[in-house]
Amino acid sequence: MKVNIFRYICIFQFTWLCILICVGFFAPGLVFCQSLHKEKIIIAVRAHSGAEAARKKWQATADYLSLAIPEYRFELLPLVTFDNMRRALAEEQAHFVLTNPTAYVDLEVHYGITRLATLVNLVNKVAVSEFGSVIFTRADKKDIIALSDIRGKSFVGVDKEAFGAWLMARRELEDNGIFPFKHCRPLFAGTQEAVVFAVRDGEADVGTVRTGIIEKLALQGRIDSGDFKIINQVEDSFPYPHSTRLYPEWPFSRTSQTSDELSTKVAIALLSMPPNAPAARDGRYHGWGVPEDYNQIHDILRQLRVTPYQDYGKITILVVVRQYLWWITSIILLVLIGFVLFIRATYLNQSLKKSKIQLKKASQNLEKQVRSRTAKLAEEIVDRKRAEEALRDEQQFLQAIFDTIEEGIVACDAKGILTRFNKATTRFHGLPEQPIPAEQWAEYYDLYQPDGKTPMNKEDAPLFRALRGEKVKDAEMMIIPKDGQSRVLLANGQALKDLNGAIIGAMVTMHDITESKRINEALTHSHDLMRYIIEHNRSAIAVHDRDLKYIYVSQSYLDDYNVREQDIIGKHHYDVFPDLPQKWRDVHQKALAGQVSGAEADPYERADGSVEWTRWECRPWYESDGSVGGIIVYTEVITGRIKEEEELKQYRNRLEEKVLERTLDVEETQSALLNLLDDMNMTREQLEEANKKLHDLDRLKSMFIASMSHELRTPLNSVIGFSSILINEWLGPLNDEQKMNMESILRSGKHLLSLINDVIDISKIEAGTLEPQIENFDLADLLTEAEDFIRNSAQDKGLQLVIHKFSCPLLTDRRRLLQILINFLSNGVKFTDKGEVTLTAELSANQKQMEISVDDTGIGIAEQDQARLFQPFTRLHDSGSSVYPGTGLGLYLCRKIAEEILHGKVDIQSVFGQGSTFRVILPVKIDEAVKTIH
Amino acid sequence: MKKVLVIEDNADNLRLISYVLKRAGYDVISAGSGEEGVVVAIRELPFFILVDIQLPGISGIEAARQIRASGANGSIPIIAITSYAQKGDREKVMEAGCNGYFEKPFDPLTIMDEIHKILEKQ
Repeated sequence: MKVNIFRYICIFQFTWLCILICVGFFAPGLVFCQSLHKEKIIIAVRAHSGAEAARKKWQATADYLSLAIPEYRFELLPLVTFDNMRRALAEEQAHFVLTNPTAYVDLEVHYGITRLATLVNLVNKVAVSEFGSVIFTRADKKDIIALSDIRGKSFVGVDKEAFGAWLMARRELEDNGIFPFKHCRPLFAGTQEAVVFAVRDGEADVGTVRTGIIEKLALQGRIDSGDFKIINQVEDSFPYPHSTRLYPEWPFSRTSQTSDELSTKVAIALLSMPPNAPAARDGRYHGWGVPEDYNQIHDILRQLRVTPYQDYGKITILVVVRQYLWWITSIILLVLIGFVLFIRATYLNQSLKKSKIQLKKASQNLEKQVRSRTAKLAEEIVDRKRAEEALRDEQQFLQAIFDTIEEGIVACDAKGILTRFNKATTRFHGLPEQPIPAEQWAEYYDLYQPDGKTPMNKEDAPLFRALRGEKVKDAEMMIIPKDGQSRVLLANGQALKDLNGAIIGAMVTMHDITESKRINEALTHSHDLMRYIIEHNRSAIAVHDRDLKYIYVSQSYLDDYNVREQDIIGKHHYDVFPDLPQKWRDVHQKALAGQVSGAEADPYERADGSVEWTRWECRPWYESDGSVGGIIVYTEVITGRIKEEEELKQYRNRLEEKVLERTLDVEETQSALLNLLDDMNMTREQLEEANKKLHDLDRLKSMFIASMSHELRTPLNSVIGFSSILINEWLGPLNDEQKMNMESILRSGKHLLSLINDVIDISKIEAGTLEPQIENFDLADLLTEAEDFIRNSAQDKGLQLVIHKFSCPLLTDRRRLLQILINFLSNGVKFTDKGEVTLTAELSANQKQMEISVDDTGIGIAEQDQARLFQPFTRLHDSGSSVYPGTGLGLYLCRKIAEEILHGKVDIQSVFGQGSTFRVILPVKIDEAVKTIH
Repeated sequence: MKKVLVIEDNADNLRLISYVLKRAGYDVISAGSGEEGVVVAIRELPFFILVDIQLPGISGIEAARQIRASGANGSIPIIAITSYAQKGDREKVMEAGCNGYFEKPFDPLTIMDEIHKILEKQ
C-alpha cells in the first residue's frame, strides 16, 4: 500500500509545493481528502435492529478511530444476521468486530478474534460495563416469591437466544432445578418492552429482561415500577437490581488478520475516548474500558448448550477419529496380522484333512472284517441264548405254578428228609415267611385225624405212607399250626422211584378242604333244621316234589289226616288220598304252574254231616335254578275258633244295644244341663253389667274427690293463710274480739282441711290407688317426730306426755305410720282433761311384729261403742261435738292404713270413764309380711 | 332487695304469698300464667322462682322446664307449689328442673322456713 502512495506522489510531483501549502492551511480538509485514499479498515458490526440503526449508533465511533489513527480509514460493515458475520470473518473481510458478548464468544472460538476493550455502557445515565438480567412478576402475585415458585407458571422472555432477556434467567432457573422449556410455559414477546407489558397485563406470570429496562420504562412514565416485584434479587454494588449473575458488556475485538500494531493503536484510542466524545454520545455509551473476562459467557453458553457449545458433551465421529487415530491404526494392524495367520491356518488344516481321509479308509476296511467275524459269533451266541431262555422260561413257569398253586406240594428223599415244598405248604403248616430247615417243621404244628381230636402218628402221615410205597388217595387229616387256623387237608401222594424202581423219595399234594367241609356241614345242618321245623309245626304241612310225591310232612299233618310217615314219604299224594276232590287237584296244578292259592276260612262237610272249617294255602317251592321244585300245602282246622268268633259277635251286638240305651239317657240329662248353663250365663252377663256400672261409679267418685280436693284447697289456702296473717298481726293489731273471731275462722279452715285430707286418703285407700312408700327408718326418730308434733297441744292442756322411745330399724311406710301415731296421740290429748298420755312401743317375742300403744287417762269408751269406733263418720260424743271437734274419719282411716298399707291391725281397750289404750300392731319389715301373705 | 318471681293465677294466693315474701325482705314480681312466667324469668333473672303447678295454659311443670331449657337461668332455684299432689307429681316436678316443692294450703308462719331449707340445699 505504501508503494501505491509513492506512485501517487511521483505522478503528481509538480503539485508537491502546493500540497505542502495546502497541508499548512487546510490540514483538516486535507486529512479528510487524504482519508479517501487511506487504507480501509473494516469494522464488522452486529446490527440487531438493522443496518441503519447500527450506522447511527456506531458511525461516530468509526470516525473517532479514523481521526485518532489518521493512517487508516475505519469503515463499518453492518451485519444483521450472525451467519453473515461468521461468513465475513471466514472470508477475512473484517479487521475488527463489534458485537454482543455471546456472539463474541462464538467467534473467539471459531475465528480466533481477540477482545481489545469492553464497552462501558450508559444505562439511564449510569456508566456500567456489566449487565445482568431481572426476573420479575406482578407485585400482587402472592403465590410467586422465590425462583421455585416459577415452576408451572408461564415465563416470558424476548426470544430463545436473547442473552439478557432469556439465557441469563434460564441459567439461574436451571441451577435451581427448573428447566423453563420443561417445567414452565415459555413465551417470547420479541422485545424487552413487550416482555414488561406482557407481565404487567397478566399475559404471562413471570418475565425476564436485562437490567435497567424496567427503570428506563418507569423513567419514561410508561409503567409504574411499583407494579412489579423482583424475584431472587442479588445484593451487590451494581446500581440496578438484578436476579442473575452479571456478565460483561459488548467487546471490541480484533481479528487474526489484523496487525498487533494497529490493534494496539485502536485499543489505546478506545480506552482514551473522552466521555463527551461524539462517538460516545451517538453510541449512547460512556466509553471503553479494559477488556473484561468473558469466561462467564463461555460458562453460561456451555451450560445452556447454545452456540458455540450446542454440541458440547456430544461425541462426533470426527472428534473420535482425531482423538483416537493411534488406537484405530493399531487395531487395523492387528486385524491384518490376524487375517494372514488365519489364511495360513486354513491351508495347514486342508492338508491335515487329506491325511485323515486316507486313514479313515484303512480303518473302515479293518472294521468290516471285524464286523463279519463278530456277526458269526453273535449268531452262535443268540442260538445258545434262546435255548437257555426257553429252559429258563419253562423253569420259571413251573416255579410260578409251584409257588402260586393253592395245593400244598411236599417231597422228601429216601430217608424221609424234606427236599421240596411250595408256599402253600408252608402256609398250611403255619410256617413263617423266612425259610426254616425241614427238621424244625414239627415245632410249628400238630397233625390230627379227620375228627380233629386224635393225634396222627408220624407213620400215618401221608408222606410217610407214600414213602413206604403206598399210594395215598384222598387221605383226610387235620393240621393245627401252633399260631394259626386249623385246616382240613385232603392228601394224595406216592413214592418217587428211580429207573430201577428203587424208591428215592416221596411226594404228596395237599388240598385244603376246610371251607368246603364247613359249607357242607352248614348245608346238612340247615337241611336238618328245616326238617325239624316242618315236623314240629303246629299246622299241617306237606311238602311234595314235582311229581306230587311226599318229601316232608309235619306231625300235625300225620295227626290230622291219620296217616303214618313211613307210609307216605316218597308216595304220590293221590295214591295216599285217592278220593281227593277235583278242586284240590286243580289247586295243586296251579301251584305247580307257580300260582299261590289259599283261603282264610273254608267250610267243608264231613261224611257224618258235621261242618269243619279250614284255613289253607298251597304254594310252589323253587329249585336253586328258579324252576318249580314242588309244592307246599298248609292246612289248619279252625272250626273251634270260628265257633268262638260267632259267640263273641252275638255278645257284642247285645252290648251295643245296651250302650245305645244308656247314651239316650245321658243325652237327655245333658240337654237339661245345657239349659241350666244358658240361664246361668244370662245371670253372669247381668252381673258383669252391674259390676261395670259399679266400676264407673267408683271412677266417678275418685274423679270427684280428686277435683274437689283441688278446688277446696285453693280457697282454703286463702282462708287459712290470711286468717293466720291477721291473727299474727302482720297487718296491724287486732282487738280481742276480732282476734277471737279470726281464730275461729282459722280453726274452721284447718278442720275443713283435715276433713278433706282424710276423705282423700280414704278414697285412695278404697280405690286401691294409695301406694305404700316403703323406706328404712328408725323407730326412735319416728317417735321423736310424733312427739314434736303433739307436744304443744299437750302442754296447752296441761297434760303430761310420756313417750318411751327406743331404737329399732323399721321397714314400712313411715308417713302412714306417723299419721296413725299422731292420730292416736291427738285423740289421747283431745279426750283427756287431766293426767297423762303415754306412748309405749314393744317388739314381739319373735322380733317380727312391732306393737305401739297410746294410753290416756281420758274419758274412755263404753264397751258397746268400741266395736263401731273404727267405722267411718262415727262420733261417739254427739252431745259434746263442740268440745271435741273431729272429722269422724280419723280412726276409720287409721284402721284402713294399718290393715291395707302397713299389713297390720289396730285395736282398742278402754274402760269408760278411766281411759283408753289404742294400739297398732305392724310387721317390722313389710316385705316379710307381704311374703307371708302370699 | 332480692327479686322473687311468683307464677300464680289465683290473685288471692298471689297476694298471700306476696305478704310472706315481702315480710321476709324480698321484692315480689309476678306472672299470671306459665307463658308469662317464662318470659319474665328469662328477662328479670330473679333470685328464686315460686311456680304454681295448676295454671291455665301451660302447667307450672312445663314452665319450669322451659325456664331451665332457656339456659340462661341454670342456677336460679325454682320451687313448685301444688294444691293436690297427684301420684308421681313430685318426680315430674323434680324432673322438670325444680329444686323443691310444697303443698297448698301452706302456713304463712312457717312457709319461709321451708323455702329457706330448699334454698340452702342448693
